[in-house]
Amino acid sequence: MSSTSRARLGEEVWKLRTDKINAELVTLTYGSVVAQLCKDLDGDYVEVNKQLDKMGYNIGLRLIEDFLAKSNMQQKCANFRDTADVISKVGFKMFLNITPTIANWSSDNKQFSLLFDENPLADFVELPDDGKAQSELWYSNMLCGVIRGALEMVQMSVDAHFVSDVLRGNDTTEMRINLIRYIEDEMPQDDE
Amino acid sequence: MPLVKTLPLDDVILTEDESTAVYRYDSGVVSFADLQIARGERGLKTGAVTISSSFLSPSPSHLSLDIVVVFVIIIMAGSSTSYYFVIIGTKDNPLYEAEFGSFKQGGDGIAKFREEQRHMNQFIAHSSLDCIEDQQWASKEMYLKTVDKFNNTWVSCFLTGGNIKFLLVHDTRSDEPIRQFFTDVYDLYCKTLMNPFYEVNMAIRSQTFDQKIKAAAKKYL
Amino acid sequence: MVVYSFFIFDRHCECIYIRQWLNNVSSATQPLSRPVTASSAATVATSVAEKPSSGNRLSMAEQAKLVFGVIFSLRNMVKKLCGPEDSFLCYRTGHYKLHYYETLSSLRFVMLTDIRTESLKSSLHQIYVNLYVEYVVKNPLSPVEHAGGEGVNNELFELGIDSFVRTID
Repeated sequence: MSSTSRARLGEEVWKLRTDKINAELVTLTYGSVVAQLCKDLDGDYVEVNKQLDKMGYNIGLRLIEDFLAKSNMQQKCANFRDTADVISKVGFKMFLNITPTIANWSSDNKQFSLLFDENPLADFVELPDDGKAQSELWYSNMLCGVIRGALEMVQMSVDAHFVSDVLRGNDTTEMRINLIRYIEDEMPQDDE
Repeated sequence: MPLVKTLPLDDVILTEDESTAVYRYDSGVVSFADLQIARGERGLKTGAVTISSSFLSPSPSHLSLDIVVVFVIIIMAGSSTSYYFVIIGTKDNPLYEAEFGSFKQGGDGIAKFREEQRHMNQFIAHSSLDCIEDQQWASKEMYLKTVDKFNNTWVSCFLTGGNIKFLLVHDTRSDEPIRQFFTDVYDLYCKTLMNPFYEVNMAIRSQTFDQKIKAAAKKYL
Repeated sequence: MVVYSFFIFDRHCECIYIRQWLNNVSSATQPLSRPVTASSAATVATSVAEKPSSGNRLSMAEQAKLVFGVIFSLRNMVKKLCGPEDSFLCYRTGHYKLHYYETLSSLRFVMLTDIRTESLKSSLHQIYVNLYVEYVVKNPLSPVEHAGGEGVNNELFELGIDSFVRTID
């Protein structure tokens, strides 16, 4: 499946097969989740990041089924590059209506970066001014968990984390994804 | 016999402490000292200002000493208008305050309040809260125009749906620019509310908010 | 077109859902008898699943295991023969036809019907898209791993499967 046809598929699924919801509602809901976590965990932003990742992981485990059902993908991706392409052009397009750019491939084709030029989860957000948030909190960390959970259900074990974020003052929002290994099919237990 | 002369605005220069006005005319200069200056309504922008002086010190020789020139001073507001802007929360607590001077007519945008006036501004703003509470239920509008007058300063108010008040203390009347300014501020305030880390009645400390308010002031005031 | 039974196997090679429609092959006029369902194979006591073709009495659990063994081996063999694409569609014996559909997330849907039915791959896909994803995956109270069938046997899914299969019939 070529890159342009994937883009078209993403566009088509977004337009026709998804129920839409008000973007501000999503932004405000996600924002209140993060704000409440920060309050509950008393400003321990490292722990907040972990919890967001966990929540994202649980979402990803289920989201992949919805993704496969709606996008009607029949074939597995041939290699990790294809996977990246599908994530960006079909996955993100379908659920958030954004298409992050793929960049910074490592030489062994096992790592790449997603560059977000717009992030609907972080509209109107300014990180709190208490000195720690700016350097410790990854606001959109749930997305990392989603990708990790979703790819695990299609037999890929990956690690996803943010390396820069415009909310922190950097120029771009960039997520680094690297493939740890492909998970083998499970064999049935031999109890005969 | 008193001679009333109307002088164009640009031709009259006030000194810093507003006690002397100097008028340049074709053949010389006349300075009027010991001016009793009454602050009042802003005159026409390009129109004339009439000046009065209780004491005339003539310098050019051809001005007769007999002539008592009576002018009525209406001091232009123009370049020395200053504004004090404050956002007040639901518990009468200030959330944000700023001072600007007018940018119009070559003003440099820096507020020219005297020291005592600065403290007074806060009191004026707070005292007008009572007037606002009286008036707020009578009107359906969010922009309440001018709600209070103290000596020669006016207080205009914009009331949001969440009972947050934007107050502007100013010394000249101008409805339309102030309304536009308030509309811009309301837009910025709504965006601040959308920030999940901001709670209602929290002080607004964001730098971007500050810069944008100042830009809005520059645009309209 | 008669549907005999329906299985779902997850990625951990466990059976998470079984549905059987008891059928007496000999009398064609008899309507479909009351469907007997069980999702947790271990706790079935009252229902006795009877494969119309064979006279043996097999419990649901054993049946599921047998079915899984067959499809797993067949799938691996087909993969080795035909490449990584999804080539295993169905197989037919003298008494029944087995239809197979596997999603990319290693979820396996198996349906046993009579021999005259055409390939039901698209129907199985429909079941996945319209019933499984809607009622099981999107149910926030159902766990992700359906050990022992937990979470799959909610009412809406059962009703959905029932009405869907009746429309195929």
